[in-house]
Amino acid sequence: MNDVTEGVIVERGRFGRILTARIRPNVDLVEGIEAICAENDIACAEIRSCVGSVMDAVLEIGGGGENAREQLVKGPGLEIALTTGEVRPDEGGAPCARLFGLVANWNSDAFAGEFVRGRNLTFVTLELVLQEWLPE
Amino acid sequence: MNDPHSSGEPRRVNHPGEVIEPRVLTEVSETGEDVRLVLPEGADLLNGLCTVLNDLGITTAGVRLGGGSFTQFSYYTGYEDPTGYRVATFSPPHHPPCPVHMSIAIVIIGLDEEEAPKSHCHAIFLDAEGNTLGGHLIPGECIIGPGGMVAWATSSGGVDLQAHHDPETNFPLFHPTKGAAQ
Repeated sequence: MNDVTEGVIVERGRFGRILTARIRPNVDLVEGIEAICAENDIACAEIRSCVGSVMDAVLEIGGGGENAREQLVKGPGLEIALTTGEVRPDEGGAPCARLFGLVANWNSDAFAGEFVRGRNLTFVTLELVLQEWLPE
Repeated sequence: MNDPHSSGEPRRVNHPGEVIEPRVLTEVSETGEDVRLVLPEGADLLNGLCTVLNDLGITTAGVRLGGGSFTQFSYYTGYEDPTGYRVATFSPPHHPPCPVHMSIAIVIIGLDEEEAPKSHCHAIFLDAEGNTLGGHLIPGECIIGPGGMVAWATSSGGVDLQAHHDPETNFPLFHPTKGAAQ
């Protein structure tokens, strides 16, 4: 087994408030979730569940770094589900979201990746349960 | 709807109704509850989730699940609304060959206009021929197969998502409301 004691980040804490939200059409989902956190003074959070639709999707794939590339999935009206997402403070302390998930088009074709900031506008609605994370 | 991505700007949708403010609706609860559920073989996924959670006093929750299979399964995709009443509507039901294997599904549970349980589920799954597909699962038509299915639910505490007509989109949509008894 590889030694993984170096480079590991451990953060203890507990979960706090629960936010239940709806985002209306034509809002970028990354920026929308950040706005929800900013309005409620939440610096760290985890997405518990999120279902909705986007007009088109732009997903980052390729494993990050030099291999990262953007994949455009054309709509209109892609079904989406966030599978993983967290909000952390940026260098200035503002909430910054990274969201990973799935989209499906009207032909049932499925795609996955990280939602690129500013490029994924809600189509009909986005429903969200998000929970605050309070680091020790 | 304008030409996609020619300017680099994301396309925007034009719904039939007037734009309603605010664009983001949020309600906050100080506490919630996390629950692990195992739904048995033969249960309907979405109606089963609604029933079990309501029996626990949970009327609104976010649910995550994956793995397991279905002996009966149907789903919707998006579809052009021929009437123009909405920008899109649901397709006729798709019936992929079963057993269908669930990869990942996310569910939002809330209340309909009459305060009965209502679910909204999007999933990625494999049909019996190995095709990876995605769509909107249909309540009452996704029957869990052998081994059951595990689900993790986070209740929204003292907040509900309740569906009502949204005049901007002409869909009945979930809206967060304060004051649920949970």
